[in-house]
Amino acid sequence: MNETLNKLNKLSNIKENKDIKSCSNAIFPGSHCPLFGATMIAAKLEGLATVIIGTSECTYYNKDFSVLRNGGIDKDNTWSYVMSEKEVVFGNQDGLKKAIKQIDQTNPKGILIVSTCVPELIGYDIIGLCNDLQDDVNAILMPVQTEHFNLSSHMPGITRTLEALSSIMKPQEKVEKTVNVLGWRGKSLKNSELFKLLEEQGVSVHLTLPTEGSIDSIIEAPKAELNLVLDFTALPLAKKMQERFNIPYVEFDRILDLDKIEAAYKEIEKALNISFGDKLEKFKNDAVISIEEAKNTLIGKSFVYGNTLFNVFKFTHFLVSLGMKTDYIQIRELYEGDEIYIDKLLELGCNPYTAKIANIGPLDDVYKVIKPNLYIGHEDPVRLSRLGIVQTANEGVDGLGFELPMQLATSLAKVLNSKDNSDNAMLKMMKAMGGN
Amino acid sequence: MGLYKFFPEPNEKMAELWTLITIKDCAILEYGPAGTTHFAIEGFGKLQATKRCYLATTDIDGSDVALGITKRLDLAIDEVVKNLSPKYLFVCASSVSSTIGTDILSICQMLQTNYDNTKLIALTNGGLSGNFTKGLEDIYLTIVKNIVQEPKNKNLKSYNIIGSSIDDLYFNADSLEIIRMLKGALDLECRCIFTSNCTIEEIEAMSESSINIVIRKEALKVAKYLEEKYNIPYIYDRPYGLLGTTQWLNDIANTLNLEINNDFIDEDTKLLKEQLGQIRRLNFMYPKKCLISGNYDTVKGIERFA
Repeated sequence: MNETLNKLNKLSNIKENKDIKSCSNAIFPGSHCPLFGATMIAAKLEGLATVIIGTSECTYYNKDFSVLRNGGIDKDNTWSYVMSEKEVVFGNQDGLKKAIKQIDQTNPKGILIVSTCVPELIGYDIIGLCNDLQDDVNAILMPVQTEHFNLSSHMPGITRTLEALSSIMKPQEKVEKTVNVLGWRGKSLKNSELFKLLEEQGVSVHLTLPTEGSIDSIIEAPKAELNLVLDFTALPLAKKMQERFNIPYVEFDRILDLDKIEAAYKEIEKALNISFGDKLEKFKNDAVISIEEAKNTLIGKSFVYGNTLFNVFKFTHFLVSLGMKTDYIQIRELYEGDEIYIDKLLELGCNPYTAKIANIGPLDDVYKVIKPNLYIGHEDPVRLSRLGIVQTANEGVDGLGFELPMQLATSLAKVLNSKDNSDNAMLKMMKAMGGN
Repeated sequence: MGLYKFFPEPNEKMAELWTLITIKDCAILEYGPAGTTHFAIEGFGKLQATKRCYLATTDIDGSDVALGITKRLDLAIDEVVKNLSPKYLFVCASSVSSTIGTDILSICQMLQTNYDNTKLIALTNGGLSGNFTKGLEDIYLTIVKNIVQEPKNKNLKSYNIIGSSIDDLYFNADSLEIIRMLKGALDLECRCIFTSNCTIEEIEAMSESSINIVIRKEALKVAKYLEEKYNIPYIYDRPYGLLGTTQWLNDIANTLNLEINNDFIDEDTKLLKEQLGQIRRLNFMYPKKCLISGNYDTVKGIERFA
């Protein structure tokens, strides 16, 4: 039996996060930290200053990432409060307060105060500090804790930052047929099926958080009639907004199940008092036809799940229901509702090995046994190519609505067909040279 | 340390990683949260250097922190040694492991008895003192003290470049220019570019060179150590400008008792004078003030030239 696979649990044994094992003890590259997630959200928000409290290492690399995200140092409003050894031993809340007041003098509307591993380890109370200092500054202070040793990846950093931003929101008069889009981190949604349908109904988008936002638009976010939650990381924010401002939400988080997509559209119709008419039926039928066609290529093909923007279990279930197989999936952690899809997979006879995400170093060992046709996610393309494994990172699979499962199925079929086509081309060449 | 609007100053841990990461066949294992390592890999990529080492993290969770459990470090070290068989494995502390007081040094000392063919080298700097310069100095010396071997075949016409660090803007071009000049002027071969472009083997064989070319003051301790232990002289300077470079070449020639190839010098001087002439003309017509910013040795060298 393979030494690497021996370390891992099968899906049927996954009940809680500690059941998800790493395929090696020495990990490369490792998960991103929650600080990374916080910066993903905060970096581009106009009117927001962010201060990271930590060591030079955390603050330097984070600044580097933030500058990249903003397209230049001039546009970046991320500050670094670097703790000295003395501060780690003795603390220095006064120094931190002074720093925040200095940032406040540059007149941001909000200051996100992000604590990292070391300050959290020594018990810096940034929530208390914000409460203490709020009256002395003009900007709204929002604390976010991003200690990686307690949090599995960058996702909690995203969730916590989005939640923190809700504290800046103020009650507004509702504007009919206005929505907020929460959690979307992909390309522009303007050409997506969902947004074209909404536009046709005269529905406007007030805020797309975090990709197109400013502090001003966040403050006014409660004027929307409905929140569309396009990523699970924004669900706590949506729940908070429902509680504080009575704004309902509809989850439209990269759904692949055609019936669930239809149900989500119906919820939107009801919440906004609109009707998409017979377009939904047409789009659904188109999706059914395209998916059936793609199935011809997909049936019987095997894949390894690496990482995508989708929920691993929903994604895997979709592909397995189309007749694909998998013996190895990589998981970040378990989220609410995952057990439903885990049960569905097991009912379909799918019981793959499970491994912690973000550890691609030792996968050579896995490929020797698993021998997949396809790797889905980011991996070393040279290594995969050498092993004859086709790779896709779901390029172009970025729609919303019925188009999404259609894009996914056809994209995977195309990727798998290109491998087959090249083999056939080689056969043709060999024949032309006189081979059998 | 304070508040920074632009980039904060890199710390000693970054000096360690940026120094080791370009050494081929080097193995590094970091004991800390995975995000630190992942961030470092992505941050490092923008320095236009090539990662040549094996790098991994153990990751660390709340239980390890609260209870001081280091089992995952033991297992990771064992795994790396058994799968990779590196000659040297650098086991690095992180800011988290330092803050909770994990004794990386003792762990390595205890585990060393299990491994005959891999030397475990503990790097206990957690990055809390924030001193890149000291960190660079320390890691250079640690590498040399642990890896350089007794010379097998002394090569009288070879040298090492010491202090080539990827945080220098033109580290690669500078090394290549030194190699070009020393080959052309003195027919010398470069054995090791320490550490921006070298291998473990080349570091082991540094003692076989006849001179060390030190281009960074953080590398002086290394040069002094090699001089004392292996009787290798060194020249500490960065060649800038016609006069500065000529002087530098003469110093090396005199140290090694060699004759300079004057044809090479004449050819290069001719090209340089043409360029210098144009710059002087422009400066005369449009005098400019300039700010020279960079590492100490670069600034010192360019200031002399300017």
